[in-house]
Amino acid sequence: MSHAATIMGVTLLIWVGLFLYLIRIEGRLKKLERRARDVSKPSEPNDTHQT
Amino acid sequence: MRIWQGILGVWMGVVIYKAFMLPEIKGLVAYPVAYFHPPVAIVTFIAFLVAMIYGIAYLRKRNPDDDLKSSTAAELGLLFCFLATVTGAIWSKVNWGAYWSWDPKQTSIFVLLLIYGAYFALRSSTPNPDQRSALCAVYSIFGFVSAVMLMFILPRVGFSLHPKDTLTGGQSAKPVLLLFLASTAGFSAIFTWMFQLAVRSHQLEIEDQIS
Repeated sequence: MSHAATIMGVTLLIWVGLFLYLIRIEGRLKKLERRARDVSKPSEPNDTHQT
Repeated sequence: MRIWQGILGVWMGVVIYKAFMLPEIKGLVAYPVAYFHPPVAIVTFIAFLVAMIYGIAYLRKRNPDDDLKSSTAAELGLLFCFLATVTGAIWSKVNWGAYWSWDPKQTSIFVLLLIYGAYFALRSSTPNPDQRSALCAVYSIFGFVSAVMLMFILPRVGFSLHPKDTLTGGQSAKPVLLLFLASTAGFSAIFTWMFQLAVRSHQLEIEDQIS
């Protein structure tokens, strides 16, 4: 394999690595945001029908 | 994964592949990094511009969210500035025989790194949050103005090894310009994605601190 092909392979690998890393962060953020929304959601009062 | 993310993944893959097919750039040694260095430098400016716009927005409305976005854009701008310096040094070695020759543009980008490094020193050394946000907003305006002066005006005053309008001035073949534009669009999309992720992550951190 030529020198240029090796560098191209490494550059493509770096891009694929960065791409997958960003996708992973996006997934984690979505999960955290969902969890944060669930925590901050005001809980339904159970005794409304009694009043 | 969203559709645009998939398109970006393939897009940049094609840009990288095409950059290694080496279309000729007149007056310069053909080298793939030529299609990464100028786009990364352009994205640096976009990032510093975004930092300034949100800085001005903060000064007008005093919304902490604008300060957060301004500092995040500055963070990413500094990262892209560093990448532009590294890719520029590689291209410099190929074209002019040395990684660093204190060319006006090289000196300017070095000063720019120091300016935005100082931005974060200012941020971390100001304990009062309101004062910190206001100071950094003003600094982001001065930072961008000095970036324009350093990168666009100063190198054109004296002699510079950097060629002028080689990629966009009609001297090179059409594929060169197209590849350059494709690379710039790709890096801009990467910046936008990273910016969006960083802002959301900082917002979550703040929400966590509050609760």
